[in-house]
Parts: sequence; C-alpha cells; structure tokens
Amino acid sequence: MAETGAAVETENTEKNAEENVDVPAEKPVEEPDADTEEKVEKEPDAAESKVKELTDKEGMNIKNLACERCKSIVLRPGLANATQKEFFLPHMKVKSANQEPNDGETLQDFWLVKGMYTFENVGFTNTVQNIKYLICADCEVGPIGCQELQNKDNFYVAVDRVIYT
Amino acid sequence: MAKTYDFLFKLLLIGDSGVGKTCVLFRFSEDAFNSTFISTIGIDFKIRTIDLDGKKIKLQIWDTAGQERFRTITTAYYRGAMGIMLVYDITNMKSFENIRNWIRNIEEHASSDVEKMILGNKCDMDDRRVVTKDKGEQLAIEYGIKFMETSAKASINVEEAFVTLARDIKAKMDRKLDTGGQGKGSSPVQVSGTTTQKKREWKFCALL
Ligand SMILES: Nc1nc2c(ncn2[C@@H]2O[C@H](COP(=O)(O)OP(=O)(O)OP(=O)(O)O)[C@@H](O)[C@H]2O)c(=O)[nH]1
Ligand SMILES: [Mg+2]
Ligand SMILES: [Zn+2]
Repeated sequence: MAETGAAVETENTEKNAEENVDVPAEKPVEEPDADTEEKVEKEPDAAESKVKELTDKEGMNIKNLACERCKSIVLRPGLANATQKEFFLPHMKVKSANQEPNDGETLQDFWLVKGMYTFENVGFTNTVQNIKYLICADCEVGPIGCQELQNKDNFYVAVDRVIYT
Repeated sequence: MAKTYDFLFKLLLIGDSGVGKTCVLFRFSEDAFNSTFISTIGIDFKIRTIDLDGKKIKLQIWDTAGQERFRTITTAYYRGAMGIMLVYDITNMKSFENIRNWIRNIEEHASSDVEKMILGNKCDMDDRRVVTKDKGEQLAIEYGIKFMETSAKASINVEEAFVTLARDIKAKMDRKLDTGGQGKGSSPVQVSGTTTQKKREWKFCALL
C-alpha cells in the first residue's frame, strides 16, 4: 500500500469501525490457481465456457474489463487471471424496495488482478471488516469486486459484474 | 508483469471542512442503478489513468477525512503526495482566508517540491459568493501557483483541474530529468481564465 494511503487508511478504518456496517466475510475455497482449463474439462457449464471465451491460453483476459453501466475501462487486456474463488458481494442494483444495503450473492468466477496500480480506472471503498470493495471510477456503480483479506495486493473482479469491450 | 504506466502521481485534497473536497472527488449517486451499499460505506480513493504527451499517467487521488484541520495534519498525511489541491468555498470567506494556513502547513510538513493548486469551489453559487474570482487569482499569483474556480455540483472545471495539476507535476519531473535541470527553466504561472463545463458522464479521459 502506498505510503500516503497508509496514513489515510488508518483514519478511515477508525471511522468505519464506528459505522459498523455489517458485511459478511470472505469465504476462501480451494486454491484459486490460474489454471482454469483443467476445471473446464472437469465440469463444463455455461459460466465456465464464458470464462474460457474471455481468456487466452494462460488464462489471462483477452478483452478490456469495463463498467456495464457507463463503459468506463476498468482493466486493459492481459492483466488479469481467470480464477475460481468464493466471495460474497452486495448487489449492485436495487432489486426490490425493501432490499437491505447488504443483500447480495456469493460469486465464484473472478479476475485476479495483482496490485492496485494495474487497474486502468477503479475506485476503492472504505474498509469494512478488513475488506475494500471495488467500484467503477466514473459512475461509482459497484461493488464489482473486492480486495483479498489475506493478501492485500490481490484484487478480484467478478466476471459477471463487468462487460467486455 | 509489465508496468502498466509511465508515471504514478499521488494527489491530495485539503481545505476546511465543508468546502466540497469529497464532492469534487466522488459523486455518490444514489439511484435505481446503484445500491445504497456504496454510499453507506463510502469511497476511499480512486485510481485514474490519463494520457499526457503519449505517457500513461496513473493518478491516485485521496480525500482527507472530514474534520481534519491544518493543526492536526502532519507529515504522515502528506507522505508520498506529489500534488495537493487546496480547496476553499467561494461562499465562505473563512475557508478562503485559511488557505494561507493550509499552505503554511504544507510548507512545514510536505515535501518541498510538492505541486500545489488552489480551487475556489461552489462557483455555481454566484448569488452567495463572498470571495471574488480576482481575490482567488491574486492569492494564487502571490504563491506562484495555479488557480481555478470549480463546481462539483455543476461539474465545472473539476476534470480540468486534475489534469492541470498532473501536467504540472509531469513538467516538473521532465525538468528534473533534464540533465542539470537547465534549458527550459521554470514554467510561467498561468492563471486559468477559461471556464469549461463538462458533463461528468463524459467518459473519454474523464478524470472524476
Ligand atoms: N452548490 C454547491 N454545493 C457544493 C459543491 N460542492 C460541495 N457542495 C456541498 O457542500 C457541502 C460539503 O461538501 P463536502 O464535499 O462534504 O465537503 P468536504 O470538504 O468534504 O467537508 P469535510 O469532509 O467535512 O472536510 C455538501 O452539502 C455539498 O453538497 C458545489 O460545487 N456547489
Ligand atoms: Mg469530506
Ligand atoms: Zn461506470
């Protein structure tokens, strides 16, 4: 983390502790190895063939990851690894009038991005229960992904929460 | 992995409480397309990539936390910052007068070659204006830094301000890289007289 960031983040963490927003913690599954091809062979389904279409031989994204709402480019091609991992993410859209802010879903298909400066344009939320969520830097729609709890240099963008351009 | 940028600039916004720093950075739109989750937990910072003279510049822009005052902001806060936006509110004289205190604080605690710029925010509220544009310009000239009036609400000059600051940081770096630092000399101070209005929805090279 950047030096400036460290100083600022301390402040924000304190602030958020007071707000006490209840966010379910990350649930890591088995090793998110970059090797998706093997999994595709094991249990091919719609989601996995979608990922396969979007990746090259090394499992890297072949297209831009962009905001589905405003098309802002989040990540350039060749910079993220298709990965299977389980994260709970709050919904991006309001699905019903009585929806709680923390209602969401557990997702399995992610792009692993190493290092925050790898992103083209992205926003980071304040830290809640040790997690920072990712949003579109332009229209602020999100969360489109999150930071890994154990390794703060790892960021995960949900395959289904961005478009490909 | 290959580096995805040529330069990384860390920018900070400072100024009195209520001048609009957070609004300049974030929009916090709450509508049917965006859940309340994001606005509930708040945004920490953004990373933006802009292109200047064919170079990829990554900007990391930080807001400063709510009730910070110049007395409480010290070295740790400024560490790594290469550009600082000093923000005042054109409808609040005190916030304008305090710019001097903020600058003094920067001189005491920040790196001596940090690039600065003054923003007179809320210029959409002309009917409630108490700080003339001329006063803002004069102050900037006094310190030899740039000045712009902005409106986070009406999206006036916000992106331009950040691009201007980034351009100045890059120019300073280019001068430093010049062997001996000679030849170009320091660029003259330009006070922006033009006001352009842009919708924030403009994505191309959009900054904020
Ligand atoms: N009319 C108008 N109002 C603005 C503008 N920018 C901010 N405001 C309003 O000014 C108030 C304060 O804005 P903030 O962005 O929270 O101010 P801040 O500088 O972040 O304040 P602290 O976090 O307390 O340091 C809010 O009510 C905003 O809606 C602007 O350009 N025009
Ligand atoms: Mg603020
Ligand atoms: Zn967007």
